[in-house]
Amino acid sequence: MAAIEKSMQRAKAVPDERVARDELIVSALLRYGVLISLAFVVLGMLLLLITGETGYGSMGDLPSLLTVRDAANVGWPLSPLAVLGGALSLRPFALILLGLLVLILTPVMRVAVSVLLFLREHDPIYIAITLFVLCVLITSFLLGTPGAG
Amino acid sequence: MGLLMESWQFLLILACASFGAGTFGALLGLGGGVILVPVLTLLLGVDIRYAIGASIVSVIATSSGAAAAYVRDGITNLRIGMFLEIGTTTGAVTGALVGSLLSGRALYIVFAIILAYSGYVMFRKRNEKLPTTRECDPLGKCLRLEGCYYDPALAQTVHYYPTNTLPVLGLHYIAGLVSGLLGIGSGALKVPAMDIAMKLPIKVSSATSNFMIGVTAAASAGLYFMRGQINPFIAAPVAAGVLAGALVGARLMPHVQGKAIRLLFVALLPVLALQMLAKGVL
Repeated sequence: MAAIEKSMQRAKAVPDERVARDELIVSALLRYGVLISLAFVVLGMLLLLITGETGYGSMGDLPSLLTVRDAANVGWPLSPLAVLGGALSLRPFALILLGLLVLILTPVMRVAVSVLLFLREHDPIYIAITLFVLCVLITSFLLGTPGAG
Repeated sequence: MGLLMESWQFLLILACASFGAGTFGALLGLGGGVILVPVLTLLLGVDIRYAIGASIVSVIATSSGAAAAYVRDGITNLRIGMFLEIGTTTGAVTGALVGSLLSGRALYIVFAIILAYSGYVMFRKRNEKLPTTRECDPLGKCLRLEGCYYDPALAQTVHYYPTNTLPVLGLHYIAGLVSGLLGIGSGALKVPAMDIAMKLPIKVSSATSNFMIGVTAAASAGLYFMRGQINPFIAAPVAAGVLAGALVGARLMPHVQGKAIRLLFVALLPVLALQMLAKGVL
């Protein structure tokens, strides 16, 4: 919190206050996304190591944890709904995966929020740019684009 | 060798390697796959499919973890990042659509050459502290891409004026295309494009690349997730380690000299180029 206050003070010194405030919103969104994700991942990992159960069977030894299986019997849930359900019943692997889903959605949320910020600023060029990027992102989710970084 | 290890040893080694990958990734604007994939496959004996899934998680973790700090500190140029994302995202989609039409082998070799050349040009610029451009090109002016940030290492506010806006957008399209085709982080292409062509200060290039890489990786992460390639036992220590590392790296970066960041990047490029060359030739 202290860091946010500090940046608020810095923001006041910057001539274009609105831009600086937008930066703080984007930064806070990324930070909270990351922290929520980390909380679920760490909780899941601790439960896994304490109980020795994945929530979908016993943990087993290292080779069995690293064996590649086909998607049908991979040993953890693959759909967001199944992950959410498993996390609600505190299954360790589901908690970890929920944290990872939050992590994956964080950049997408960031683009969506940017659209809203530029809408509020009545900045047509950047509304168009961020909307375009959001549409391409959604398209790529639908296509299942294998593109990284 | 990897399979003789105990689970806790595996977790410890992976978390430490991920911490290092996150720190370097945050400093250099890369996803950390350069470090993580070899550690996972060669040292820990993990199947390449799980290694790629973990690498995607690493890219997003580095990006969001580091960008949170860089955006707050005003080092990331949001407008440049969002504008260039037009190129990276459409490139990634194109890559996925035309993937089967192009030879992966030739692409690896082309990519290796581009990386090696970028390394050479960036090395020649090693003594240039800050870019000397004093005016944006017309498109950059129209998009209001110019910016400034406070650099504690130089104890001064640095103003910069991006140029070659359209060619750099093209280069980011290629960067997106490469990552869509080869499934590897293209921060290695984005940073040189912004450094060499757009003439941004190296810290702005790295911070803005960090900002962008998470978005394209997120698009493909969904697919890997549903295919079961994101193994929670591997991805958990990677996510935690990379996030911690990225937070440290992002705290360090403002205080590190730009020259050091550039030289670190230049040192890493030949390694990456050789990795790519090996994939293309072998």
